[in-house]
Amino acid sequence: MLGHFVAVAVGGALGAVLRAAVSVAMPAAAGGLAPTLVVNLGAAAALGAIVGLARRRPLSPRVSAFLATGLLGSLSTYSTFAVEVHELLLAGRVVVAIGYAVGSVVLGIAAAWTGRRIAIGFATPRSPAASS
Amino acid sequence: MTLATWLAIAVAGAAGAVTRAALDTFAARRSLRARRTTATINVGGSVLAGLVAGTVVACGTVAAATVLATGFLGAFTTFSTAMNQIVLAASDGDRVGGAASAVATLGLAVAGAAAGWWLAFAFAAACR
Repeated sequence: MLGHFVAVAVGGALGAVLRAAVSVAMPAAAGGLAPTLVVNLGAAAALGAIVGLARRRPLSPRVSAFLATGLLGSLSTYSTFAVEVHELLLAGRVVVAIGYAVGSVVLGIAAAWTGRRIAIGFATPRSPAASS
Repeated sequence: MTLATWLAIAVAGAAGAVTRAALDTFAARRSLRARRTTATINVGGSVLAGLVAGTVVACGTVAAATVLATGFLGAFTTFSTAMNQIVLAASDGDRVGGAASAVATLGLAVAGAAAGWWLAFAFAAACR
């Protein structure tokens, strides 16, 4: 149990630093919304791929704690996303706020689904009928 | 950002992720649905992030704000897990539940961030 939380902590520290580095690297892009969108969609797709691969060959609990719960859980963020939507609403940019909010979730689901499909495709050996 | 800020973000990020994992473990032992646990974490973290953002605007720059918001709350809440739990629900045949969860989490998180923000202004007198 302790090892589980240590793996989460190391992954969580890396994810948070990586997310902060992305926001420093592209602060003004797309009205300041790009960093959150990039880390959220990237992490959703990567986690989808991990979940898809795990269907074929289950990950060790320690690796899953580090990668899924720690690194990708921490790299992506819901709170910053929610505050950004609220700040757009406060600024009276209602259409942008709704577009960013709904667009993030729709693209996030699509990213998770795509990562999962690709991983399942790679992890599943082709049947003789399909390859002939 | 200074090296000290980066290190503080790393430590706060570790703490945020561990807090989320501890709540996940706690909820799973009580057979609570994982999707609901993630939603609760995301809405709760959004309220606190709204509170921090509101405090910065109401009181001026607060030194710990970046570490708290980017480090702890950013790592505590998670977008990737929420999106993948919706995909998992849909692949288990519960498309309606997944979609309802996505909409409810979004609405409650933004409303929560707004509530936290206005709460900060209500108590802004305390920082002057």
